[in-house]
Amino acid sequence: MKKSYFDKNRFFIIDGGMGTSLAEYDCPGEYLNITNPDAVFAVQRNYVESGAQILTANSFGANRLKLAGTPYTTEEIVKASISIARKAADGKALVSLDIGPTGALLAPMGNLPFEEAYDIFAEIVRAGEEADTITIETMTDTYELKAAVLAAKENANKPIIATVSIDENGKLICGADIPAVVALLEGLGVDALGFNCGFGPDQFREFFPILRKYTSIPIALLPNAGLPHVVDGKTVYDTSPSEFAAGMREFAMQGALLLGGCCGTTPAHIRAMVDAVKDVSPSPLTEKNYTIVSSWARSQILGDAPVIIGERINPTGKKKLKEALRDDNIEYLLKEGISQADAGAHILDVNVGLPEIDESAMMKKAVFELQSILPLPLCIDSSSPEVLEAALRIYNGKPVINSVNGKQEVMDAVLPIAAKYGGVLVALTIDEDGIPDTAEGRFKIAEKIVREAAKYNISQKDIMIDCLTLTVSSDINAAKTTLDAVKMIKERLGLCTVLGVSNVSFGLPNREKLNSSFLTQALLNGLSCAIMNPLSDEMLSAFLSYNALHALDEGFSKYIESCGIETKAAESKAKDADTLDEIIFRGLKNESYAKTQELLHSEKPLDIINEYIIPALDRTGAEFEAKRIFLPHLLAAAETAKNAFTAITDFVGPGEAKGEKILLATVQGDIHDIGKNIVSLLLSTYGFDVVDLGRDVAPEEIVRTAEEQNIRLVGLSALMTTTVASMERTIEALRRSPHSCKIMVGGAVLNQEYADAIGADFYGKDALASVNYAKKILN
Amino acid sequence: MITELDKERIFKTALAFMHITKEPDIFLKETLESAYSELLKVSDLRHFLVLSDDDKSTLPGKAIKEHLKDSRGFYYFAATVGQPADVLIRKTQLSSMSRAVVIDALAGAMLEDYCDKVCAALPDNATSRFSPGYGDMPLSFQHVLISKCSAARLGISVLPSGLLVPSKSITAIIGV
Repeated sequence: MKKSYFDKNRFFIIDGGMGTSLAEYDCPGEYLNITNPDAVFAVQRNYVESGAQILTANSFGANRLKLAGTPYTTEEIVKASISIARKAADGKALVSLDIGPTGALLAPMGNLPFEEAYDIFAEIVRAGEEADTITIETMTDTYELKAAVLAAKENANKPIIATVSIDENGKLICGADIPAVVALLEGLGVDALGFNCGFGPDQFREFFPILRKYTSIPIALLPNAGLPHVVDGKTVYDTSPSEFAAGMREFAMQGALLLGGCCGTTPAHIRAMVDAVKDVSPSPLTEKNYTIVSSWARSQILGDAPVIIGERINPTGKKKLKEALRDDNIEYLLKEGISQADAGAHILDVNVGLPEIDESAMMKKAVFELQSILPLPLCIDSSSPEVLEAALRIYNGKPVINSVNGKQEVMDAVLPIAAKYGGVLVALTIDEDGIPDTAEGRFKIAEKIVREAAKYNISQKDIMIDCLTLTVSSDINAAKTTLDAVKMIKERLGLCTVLGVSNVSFGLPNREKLNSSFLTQALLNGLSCAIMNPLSDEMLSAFLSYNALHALDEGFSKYIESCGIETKAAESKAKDADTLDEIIFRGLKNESYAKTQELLHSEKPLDIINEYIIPALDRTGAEFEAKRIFLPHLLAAAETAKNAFTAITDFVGPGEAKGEKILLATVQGDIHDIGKNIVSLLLSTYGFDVVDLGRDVAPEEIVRTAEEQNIRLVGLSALMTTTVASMERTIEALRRSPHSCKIMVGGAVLNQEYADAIGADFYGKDALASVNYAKKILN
Repeated sequence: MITELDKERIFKTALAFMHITKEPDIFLKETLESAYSELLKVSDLRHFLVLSDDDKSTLPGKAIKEHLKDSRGFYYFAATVGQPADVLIRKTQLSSMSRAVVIDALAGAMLEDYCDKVCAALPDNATSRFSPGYGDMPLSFQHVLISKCSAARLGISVLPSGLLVPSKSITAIIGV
């Protein structure tokens, strides 16, 4: 780990509340940098006189989003804030540029793109070039935090202090826990990290030890003066300077090095705190040896209990995934992710390497989309350093990086990327001379990689060694060598290890039997991460049994859960639904694939469609319209029909003749899209080729796609009155285009009258109505 | 707080949200049960309630003034089921749209029930909740309510279009 700027065996005293000190001026505090610089100066000078050694400039909310519509620019406010702080510091304190949240929510939760957030922060950082250090604070979303830290690193060369606000569960609003925050920030190479705002010293007492347990770099702590409450319409904080100082003294003794205050703290609080820590000696930093990967929602600590890295998102040997990648069919890939997560994977490997596609673009898309729906950390898997970098940049958290190896050229390319973005590196024990056939040989390569990584300040704990599984059928000693090497790494280097286990059985029958036994033996030798298929019963049983037998599964809960006896009444119901049309009508999703396969032995695919599937769908539709069945049932039937179609496609191969194309999109500004997705499912069940542009789609993109793909029917959805305006703009844009098409609209706030007013051709009151309209227009 | 939720009432509301007018069949009953327990695991219900010191005449629109005609003051209110529920709904859409629709309705119903429970503790003369978008209160007032409720601390954001994120969130004025 690189040496922190703040690792100087002393405390750094930061100032206290600024916004609350300027609250008497009835405007956002940042404006005062221009309208009343003396007021800002007075507060800051007071802090310096109270002993602050770092003055936080008055630039917290100075960003282009918050300043939009005001007479001020980011640059002028930030520059003014730095120059006021510089004057107030008078050579006695460092001046830190202050960066707070943008105020907008990043995609996928909100609609601010990551790169735009980066640009917003970069503008602030460049405007603050005269500052000595950069403070990034009050962050509650790891993605925004990452954008800010990257912007600070890439647009300046200054020490960075990054602090987050946690809630009463010790988590960020986005769900990330404390180790996840530490992993992210240390991985990105900030100089100090910690907490600010939200709580007073009392409430931080519970969470500080967790922070300290995982953090190897200087810790910053800037509490409020207690919890806010409202008295006579004013927010007040009433922890006194002496109480505040007593609390801060405790944290100083427990290892905090940067001490300051947030809301409600005053120069008196800072002065009292300076006095209180006078006789405390700062704790020396100690490197914590936890190997942690993280996502936006959680941390995963490696090395204690073994974990499963799901291997299925990898096109090698997978025809369907290859096809999906070529067709840009992200849904298929996401479903592979979901099924592995549901089966018990802890981390998902993501490899989208195919020679004929743009791997970087697909990898970014896959990572973003997977992170939109799953909380699991990802393992970014590519042989291309460019792809690794593209994915690491936009990854929300600290991922596994798969991989580096002992070849100098590869280390030269991959290690700098890992050092810049952070991650736990998979290090393959292969180098220019190939894979050594002894455990000792592989151990030596592991050592070499660790040494080389140290040159980039990459800690040992952030490397896990892949001792490489080779095929026993071609070398009878292969498995033994690998197992010995795993043990050796564990015992002599103390590092985490990882293995892709299924290779071992290549060329032999009953592969899963051998694989699962190999897995157990590898786990016994200390394997930390198994790259495997969690959907394989045998592999999963081996994994869960190992944990159950090694006191790693409390109450045997995971083991017992895996033995769960399926008692779904739906399945017993299946017994009296023995024809495919009945199965579809009843929505017995799990039955239809097998039933269709069975029918394919005796009947022609087209007959199955015309005699079973279509009649069942028609019946479902009629029942729905008669209000005898309802939406969940209709959708279950559609999904069941879809499974039947899949069985047919798998049997005859993908047909050339796809149905007529229909474009669907949720309009710009609107990010709630369940209604659109329902329509999409139904339309595709009825054989239409749905081009789904997703949510928050700009009018230009809709027009362009309709033109380029010559689409005759466009469906738009909007949820709010405000976004109906955006729908209207989209319709206008489509009408202006020389391409002619019909437009159908739907969504919570729409009705026939409204749809007419904005010029739509059809208002779909429900999903089935849209299908009927499409059939009428296109068939 | 979660233990106080009224499951049967939430089911009823969810069925109404889905326009289901019949007694649910066994398929739907099971989906409701299992979807509810899945949702409960990830739900992170939170709210913020503060008595305003602003004058009610500052609130935009006629409808809210009518709503508060017998009230001397009013509360700012915000509540959410939390972001993980949104992630669950999005994820479930990929594996089972029919289940996703049920979870979506349940999450909305859960929020209603939660808000009702919170508001039940208010004085007897408290009015019902009145949200931006009702009557002539502009949706843009959402932005004001969000900042009055320190909603960022609840994890609620408002997009420029007035949409709340997480989607199962509410802001409101309550007269008293």
